[in-house]
Amino acid sequence: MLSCREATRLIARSMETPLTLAERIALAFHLVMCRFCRRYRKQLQWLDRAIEAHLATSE
Amino acid sequence: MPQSFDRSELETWLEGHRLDLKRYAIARLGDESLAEDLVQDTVLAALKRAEQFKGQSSIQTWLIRILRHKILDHLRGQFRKRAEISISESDPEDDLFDAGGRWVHPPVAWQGDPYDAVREAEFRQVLAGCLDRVPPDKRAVLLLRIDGMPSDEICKQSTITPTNLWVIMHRMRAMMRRCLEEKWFAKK
Repeated sequence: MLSCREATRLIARSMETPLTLAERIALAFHLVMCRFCRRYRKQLQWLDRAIEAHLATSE
Repeated sequence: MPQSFDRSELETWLEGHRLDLKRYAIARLGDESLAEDLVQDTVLAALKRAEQFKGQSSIQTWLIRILRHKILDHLRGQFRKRAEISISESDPEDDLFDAGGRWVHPPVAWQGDPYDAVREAEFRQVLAGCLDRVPPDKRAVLLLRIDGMPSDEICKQSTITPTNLWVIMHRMRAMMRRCLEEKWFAKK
């Protein structure tokens, strides 16, 4: 069973490199049950989109 | 767009694009004099390689592509000698969890749509302020990546190892996430 700390690291790593199948499954299970880790992932996605849009408007 | 042009025509074209290139470089590097240097290198490279410009893409796209290479070349020099970073030594998010890895400071829900937020001048100012806290080299990595350059391409051209790239990205995203939480979401 993944801890939340491990789950957030996997979320961060998955944004740069593909996870192994085992990691993907473990993370998916964790996210189904953990609202805070889902929220963490959502925040990171929000952040990336905001930065992307910010770059586009500053050109 | 001319199909083929002589050198003076091209120089005029490039001058017209110089400001755009500079804005692009400053946004990514946060360092004006470095941006200036890399734009200068870009313009020189474009003049040298003028015959490679086929007119298939816009000249702007072509110049930006050259500029991105220049930024990555610069990063190669900066990151070459650094040792592999290990995430277990210091994860920037460690303090969010207790010894058992459970949330101590769980994330709050960020309301609203990022695209709407970026339309607000006040939010853009906060975001720009947060980006200015990121060291220039790492900022360039973060922004090239978020701007859509694939991780493997960044690694190949900058010689940053894949492990270092994800650790850098993780640290910088963590830094930005905290900054926005503190400077924007906590105040809303």
